[in-house]
Amino acid sequence: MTTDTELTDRLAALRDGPAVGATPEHVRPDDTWARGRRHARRARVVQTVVVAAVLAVVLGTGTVGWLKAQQPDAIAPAGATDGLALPDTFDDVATWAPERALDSGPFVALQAGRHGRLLGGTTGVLAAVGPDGSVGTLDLPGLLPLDGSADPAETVAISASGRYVAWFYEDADRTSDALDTTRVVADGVGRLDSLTGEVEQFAFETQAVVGNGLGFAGEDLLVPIWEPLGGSRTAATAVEVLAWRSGADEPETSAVPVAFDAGLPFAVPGVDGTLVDSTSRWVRFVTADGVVARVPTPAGPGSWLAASSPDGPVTVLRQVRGTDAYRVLRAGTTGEAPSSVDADHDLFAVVGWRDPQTVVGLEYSSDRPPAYVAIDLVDGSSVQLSTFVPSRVGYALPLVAADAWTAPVAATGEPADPLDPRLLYGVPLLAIGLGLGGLALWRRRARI
Amino acid sequence: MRGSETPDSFTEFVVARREALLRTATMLTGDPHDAEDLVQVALARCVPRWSRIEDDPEPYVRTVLVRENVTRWRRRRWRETTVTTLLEPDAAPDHAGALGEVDALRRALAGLAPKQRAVVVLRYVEDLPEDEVAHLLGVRRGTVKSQAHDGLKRLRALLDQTGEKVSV
Repeated sequence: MTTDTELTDRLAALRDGPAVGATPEHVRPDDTWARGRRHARRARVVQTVVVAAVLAVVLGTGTVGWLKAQQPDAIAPAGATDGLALPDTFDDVATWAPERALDSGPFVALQAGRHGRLLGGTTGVLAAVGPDGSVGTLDLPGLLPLDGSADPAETVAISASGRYVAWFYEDADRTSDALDTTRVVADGVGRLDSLTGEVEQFAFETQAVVGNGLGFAGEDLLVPIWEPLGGSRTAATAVEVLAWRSGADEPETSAVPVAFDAGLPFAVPGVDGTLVDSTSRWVRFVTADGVVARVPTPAGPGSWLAASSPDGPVTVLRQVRGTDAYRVLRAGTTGEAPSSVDADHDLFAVVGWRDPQTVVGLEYSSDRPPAYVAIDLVDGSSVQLSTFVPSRVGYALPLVAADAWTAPVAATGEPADPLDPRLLYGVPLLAIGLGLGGLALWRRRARI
Repeated sequence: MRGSETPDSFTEFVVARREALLRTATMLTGDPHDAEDLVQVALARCVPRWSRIEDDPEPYVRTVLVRENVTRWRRRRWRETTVTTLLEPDAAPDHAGALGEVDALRRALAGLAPKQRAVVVLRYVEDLPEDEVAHLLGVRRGTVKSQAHDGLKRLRALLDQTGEKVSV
């Protein structure tokens, strides 16, 4: 019988025994040394190739990412006023557009876009366009979702100078006073001062239905308050309009008739700080203090689009198709026959004023790129101001600050289109991982 | 030719220590031919670093030897080519009794699983502390203890099968 100790003693005794079956002479120093040198040379070649490949991938990805992230150089327009310039091109919001600092205003325009998510898919975002055409997303607290077919004009607005941005917000923590409605609702309205970065929020006493949006008359924000009509879950009506004046801490009830807000998202800011809305019967010119004028639309065929100028209320007509030219007409407050100006542009909308006699329209045409054009109402001459990428046709258009229409046009460079960060960081990491893994595997498997 | 490139210190070390290295390798692998290849590969792997270890190469060479063996049995495990070649008995032992016992012990060792055999060889033949065995094999100290315990138990069983009497 042997004990554990005896067994381990017997094992220890093997230390000094012969290498049974093996032939020491088979292990030759010269052959072994040569074998080791060959393996070392192969290892150096493999390591060099792998490191070079990984470096190439990392540097290539980094360079592409850096180049794509470069913002176009700002081209300062000659004689720019108020720091605003009108970009000659409105580009799409890049999927991985960088976030813009809230105090980097004034902004030229707001645009809706889609932002990529790291785990896949996209989400709706609001972006601000700078005077140099650069586009960056804004992080506005509680901003209502801009997904699906939501038109940003219904939930956000920009002041004439581009200093203020306003938006309806939702309060995720609000648990009481929830409206029983299928309509989009808001818990309050927020206002960003893009010069200081200050964000102010005004909570509604009860939730309000988001009706036809909100808008600026100059720097004064007009906020229509809607509520369900007769307890209906689907119908709603405007009940009052709040005016949040520049410099004021919170909104006050406005003298603007509630009936006006029906056209707010389509209202055209005038050069004198008024909003202009048109119906089939009337053209209305409104400030935060109330309606300035109401002018009957001229009789005759065609749909009317209206805008005001310091010369007095003006209405602008887009004539129906069927004639060779699309004419811009103007009419005064006295009801005189509108003068006619030939302008070979298919105007879809009037969006602002470049000066008291030059209106800015949005042109959609099958044979031209979509563009904003300025049309002189006296001699009919026109000039193209800005274009936007064709993919935006039929999509939510930029909300341009009214004063930007009066600013010089600035050329923009290639839009920034940052690389997907998953590629920017994932590909180099993957390359490094594969390189290290491949090296480790090679070292394990390589016959020596 | 190549012989002229080989440093004298390498030649001297290999000639002096190859038998001892082969002895350990034979016990680790359980196969003399595998042991020869294992020793050559371990020595070849040390060539790039020879200038740094030539003053005292034995610890480094033994570490490479053990780790190369671990790599091999891990590779063989997932290739499902378990090696259980038992050592052949010595052809002509001079002292039948003593050498028969040694031979039986070697054959029993070869019958252990590779990992268990490595633990038993390093722990009891090479007399390395548990911590160092764990470090060399890339396992926890607890694994070394349990494998050593199970290895001895298995060894006794194998020796028992060959007719030896062992007790716990």
